[in-house]
Amino acid sequence: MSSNKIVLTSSDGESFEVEEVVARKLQIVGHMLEDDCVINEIPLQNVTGDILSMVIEYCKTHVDEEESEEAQTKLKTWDEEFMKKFDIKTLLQIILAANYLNVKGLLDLVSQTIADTIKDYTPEQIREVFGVENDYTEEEEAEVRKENAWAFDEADTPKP
Amino acid sequence: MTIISDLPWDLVEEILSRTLITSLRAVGSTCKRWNTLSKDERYDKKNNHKVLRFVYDFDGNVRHEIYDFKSNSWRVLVITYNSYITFKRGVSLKGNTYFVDRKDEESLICFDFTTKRFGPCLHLPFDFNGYVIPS
Repeated sequence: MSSNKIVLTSSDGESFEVEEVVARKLQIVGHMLEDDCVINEIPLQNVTGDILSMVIEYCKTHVDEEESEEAQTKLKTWDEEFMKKFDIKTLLQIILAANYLNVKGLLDLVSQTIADTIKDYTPEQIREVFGVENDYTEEEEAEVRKENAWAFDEADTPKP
Repeated sequence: MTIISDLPWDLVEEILSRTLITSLRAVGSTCKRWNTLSKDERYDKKNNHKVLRFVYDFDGNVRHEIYDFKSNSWRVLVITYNSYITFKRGVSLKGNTYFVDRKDEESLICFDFTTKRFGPCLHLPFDFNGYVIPS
């Protein structure tokens, strides 16, 4: 495998020198390299240095994705520990970066982590985190809450 | 908490499609667009394991309930279709389950686990004579 180095530069001017195989985990970079193989410095306008460093950490760990069950288990454990480091705000920044840089594995991992995180949230908390505007009237909201509560009342009452 | 209001819609969908079915209440109550999404049949595809049961009361009425492994609960389905599914063994094909129904005449009735609805009756091209067992 080539040990060619690529420099990735974040929107706030931070530079990261990584091996080409790691940089290629970012599909956006992979495409650029295919178009013109002499590039060795790539500016990434939509991602800040602190978020890019986390994406690179993920890509370095996942650079050799072995098929063996042992390797898979090890990676899975690493993924879980890695995700524990971040609060919801950072997770949302990482998902945006993973989407922009096109890192499929990370996108899946962060989506699942966010889904697991918001599962205990109230509608108010979800609105706050995602910046969703409440477009229900008071009556509509009462109605929809009633409608959505129905499934849970069933769950709470065991059937004879 | 910093608000991320510019999260692309496909990412919101990606996240919500992974949310457990038990979070539906909070998700649906968030706003109209999320409520629509939480009821989208595509949304259910990752929460796939379901069991349909028929509960008969003493008056002979039938209630249809879906068991969802994710939420560990039985949910009553609001279905107007009053089935006379006599032989309760069904056969599954491509996510739908087919039962033999004897409402008016012997026919196959399809239950779609994605939409949680009974589909159209398929009439059987022979007269009823004893039990018909789908296989």
